[in-house]
Amino acid sequence: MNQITDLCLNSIMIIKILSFCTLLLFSSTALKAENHMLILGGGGEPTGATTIFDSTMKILGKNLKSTDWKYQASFNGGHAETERMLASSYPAPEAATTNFTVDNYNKMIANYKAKILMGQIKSGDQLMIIMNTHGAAKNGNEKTHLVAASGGTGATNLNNLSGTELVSMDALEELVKLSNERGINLGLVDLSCHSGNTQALKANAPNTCIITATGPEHYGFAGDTAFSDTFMKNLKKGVTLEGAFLKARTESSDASFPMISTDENAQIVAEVYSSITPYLYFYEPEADKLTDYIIATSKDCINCKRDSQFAALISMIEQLQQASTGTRNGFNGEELKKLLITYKAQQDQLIMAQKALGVDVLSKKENFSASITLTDKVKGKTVNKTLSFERKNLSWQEIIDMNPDDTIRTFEGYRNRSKGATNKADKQVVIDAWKKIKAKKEEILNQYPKLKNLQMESQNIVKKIGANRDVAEKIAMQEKKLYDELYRQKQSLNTNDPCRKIVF
Amino acid sequence: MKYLFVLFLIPQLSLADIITECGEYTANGVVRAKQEGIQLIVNEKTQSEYVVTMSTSEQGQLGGYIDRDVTIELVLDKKFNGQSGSTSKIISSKSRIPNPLYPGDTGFKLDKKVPCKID
Repeated sequence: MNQITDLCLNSIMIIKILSFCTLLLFSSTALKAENHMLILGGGGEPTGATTIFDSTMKILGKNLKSTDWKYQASFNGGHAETERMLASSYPAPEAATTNFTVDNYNKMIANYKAKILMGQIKSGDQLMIIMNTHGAAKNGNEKTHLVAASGGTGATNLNNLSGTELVSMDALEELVKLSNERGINLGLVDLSCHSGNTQALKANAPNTCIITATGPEHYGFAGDTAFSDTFMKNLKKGVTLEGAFLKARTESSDASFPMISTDENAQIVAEVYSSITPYLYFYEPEADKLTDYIIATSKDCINCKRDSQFAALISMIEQLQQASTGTRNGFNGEELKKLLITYKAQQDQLIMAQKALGVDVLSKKENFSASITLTDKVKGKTVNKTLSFERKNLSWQEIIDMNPDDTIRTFEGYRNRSKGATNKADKQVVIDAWKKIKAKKEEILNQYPKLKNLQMESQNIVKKIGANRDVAEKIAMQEKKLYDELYRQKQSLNTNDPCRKIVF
Repeated sequence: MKYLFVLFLIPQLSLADIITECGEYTANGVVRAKQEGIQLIVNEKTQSEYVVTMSTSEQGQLGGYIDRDVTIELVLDKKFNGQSGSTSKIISSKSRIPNPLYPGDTGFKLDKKVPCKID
């Protein structure tokens, strides 16, 4: 009996010890959150030894060396110096670095989804995705935007972009969703042009922090004083994503509008982004957002949205300055106001010059119609039949862009080949209407001759302002102070925000 | 400081490969003046080429776009015969800047289903 009791007690002890060991083992794995990083980009660059992303990448590599982040990279493709830098400045990756081709991009996403599904990346872990490449403006049907991959048929020409392969940031949506479902803290950093569009992936992703180097309507930049570099410089061990972002934003001086997916940023964007957008545009032959903006604005109501937005912006700066008078940080918006007023006056002059070309009349619409009455004899009686054609809502812009001579010539050919009076009249009525369109086109161009070469004329007007990136950069530097002050005022104690939870 | 070059892109439709339903569609294609009349060609010179014919009146609507890339909203209320069909109405039309970087930027997008008409 005693033996049985001893055996039972021993068994209980063994089970207890085993349970304790299992629990210890389980706890140690469960508690040990791991850090994973996926580095992507370097696409769309012309042939050469280096890419413009190298300095940013070098800083990231150096920072990674002092951490325990496990990473994989699909970056670049065919730039020898860049590849050497990736090999020498980075700790060893989990798998060999691949070229950032369309195929490898999709494989990397699939690979990381599999890691999550197989538990290699688990709840409580941190996953950071860094996209450092060229970015496109938002496309109509994309949630986010397209970015440049490497590969293609040959060297990428940055002027005509031939050979550039593209991938969509939308492809990351499932990975974002999966990370959130599995309780993984995901940081997504998009450093490309127009990267503000990637903020769209924040919807329904509470565990995700998204940082973008600029807004949806602006270029991103590379270089020492650009956000991409200052962000990497501040992404040091132990720093939160929000901490690195805010410091990098104030330290950068490029004409961009960096964004982060916190509530505070969302409020600032709603208050400021649209109104300050035009003043971060500049003219440069290869990087010109100003011309399109000036043309579009001069077609619209110059004294409506643009002016009221500007007045609201100035008023907000003044109120902010007043509210912070005497405070420790004391925001001073005088310089920003001065720069904005000066640049707006310059832009207004360009808009007036555009209007003088006649651009404000381009949205006028016209209807054109023609009809022909045929006389026919049906059962001995004379019957009138009217054929008509109408081309409605043709804008002056469309009239100028079209070539009515081609249309008239084409339909004259159809008419001549038609058999029967009705069929011929069917074509003739279209010809008659298009002759009216042709006459209107001639009338418009006689009245506004510069509309004939509008794009060239418009560019010539904007060109007169000269390369003025420095103006936009000065405004951007002051805007960063404004953003910083607004962020400070709005900052909540919400420690659940992933941008405050994710630590490098 | 260098800037990241922008890749300007034009609106891109999510494209339907096969026209199986009658409806109002947005089509990205090119207008051609053929011997038999003006036609809208979608996915021209590919194995997925679609030819849309129309009445003289509708041809007159597209007259200004001969040999131009266009975005057309149109009604396709008769089933296609293979890869050709006809439109009963052009709802709207505008010029389109084709995107040489994105070969898939032509095609059809179904905007609204409508009942098919039977001859």
